[in-house]
Amino acid sequence: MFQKNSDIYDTSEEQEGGVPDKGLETIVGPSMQVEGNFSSEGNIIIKGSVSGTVKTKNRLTAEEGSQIVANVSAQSAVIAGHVKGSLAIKDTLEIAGSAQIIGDIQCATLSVAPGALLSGKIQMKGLESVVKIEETPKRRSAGRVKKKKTDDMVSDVVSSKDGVE
Amino acid sequence: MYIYLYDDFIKKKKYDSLIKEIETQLTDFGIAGKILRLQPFTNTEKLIAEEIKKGATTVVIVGNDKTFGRVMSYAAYCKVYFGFIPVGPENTIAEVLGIPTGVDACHVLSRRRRVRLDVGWVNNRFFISYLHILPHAIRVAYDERFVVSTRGRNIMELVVCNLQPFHWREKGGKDYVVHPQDGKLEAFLRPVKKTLFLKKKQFEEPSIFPFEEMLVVSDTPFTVEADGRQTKEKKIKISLAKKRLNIIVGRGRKF
Repeated sequence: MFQKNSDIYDTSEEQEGGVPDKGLETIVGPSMQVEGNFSSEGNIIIKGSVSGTVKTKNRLTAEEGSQIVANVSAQSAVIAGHVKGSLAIKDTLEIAGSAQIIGDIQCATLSVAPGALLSGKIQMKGLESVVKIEETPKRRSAGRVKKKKTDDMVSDVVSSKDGVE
Repeated sequence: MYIYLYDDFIKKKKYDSLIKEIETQLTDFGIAGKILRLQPFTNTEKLIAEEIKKGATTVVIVGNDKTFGRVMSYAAYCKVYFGFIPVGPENTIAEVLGIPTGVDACHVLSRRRRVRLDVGWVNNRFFISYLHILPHAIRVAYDERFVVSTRGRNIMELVVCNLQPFHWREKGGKDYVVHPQDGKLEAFLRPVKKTLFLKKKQFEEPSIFPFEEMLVVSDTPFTVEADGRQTKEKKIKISLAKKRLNIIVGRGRKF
């Protein structure tokens, strides 16, 4: 009769309903406009226009006719529409022939179809190590010059001291 | 102690034999209890709260989707276990919960396989099955992060699904089915195409947004249908109350 409600729920048989948030697809329709920080855990398919930022931990697909005025970051992406903003893609970026991109691109693997229009810097992960190896000898030579300068300064000081004596 | 809430339509003669069978089965399983008949204006929240005071631990709804939605939209506050015996037509929620219609539901009830379900929350009340905003000029803000609108007239239809699956068939043959209980609510937005006078409304391709909180605003009142009940609102906030409802489900549940 006076049983506590909290006791009722403490049963071993009880299971929790709900599936973790995965595989949820976000679709922006062709006549839709999204403004703001647009982010999703699952895949994003853009057919309309988006402005602000776009973030996803999965795949981004911008279909032909889509317009994105935003900085984009995603695991992988397929771009067939217009993008104005930087693209930071961790894995593969596929650019279709109908795509027009104005902005810097960062990715690991890139494929560009003929007909695509690009304007911006492209940075890929594999190149970074090669650039570092080339840059290292230059730094050494710069160090030597500095040493020379210090040697000159010491000799100057010595000579000035000699002059005083 | 078990409480059974019978919908008003069960009074009909055609359900007499089925109800007798169910009651016999429940007695056999040793889970028979007090029977209360719901009238059109019964305050279910108060009714259940009083029964909890008297010692009720399980409330079983006997009826269809409408009965389930009607009871749950106010009773989800109550800390008891809910059961469901689907009777008659319009029982899609029972399918999702894995509960067979009629006498077989008594077996599910006796096994007491329990889960905690997410429930939708709109303007100070719960919605269990789905929420529908009829085509209107609306603006939608998701999770206080981004705003969605349409090019042009901004007239669109919005459906938010919770427990009742939502089917929307595209012309090309692609089927969209929203699965309940995935940790988020799903909003389907369909803008209305420009149509000629007296022609049927045509919709454009839908947009789908999973969300936890959503704000719908309009300059003029729009019609909101939640669990079969219609209201007029100018601003609504829809959110997700996670693991709110304790319910007895069947083995074949779809989540």
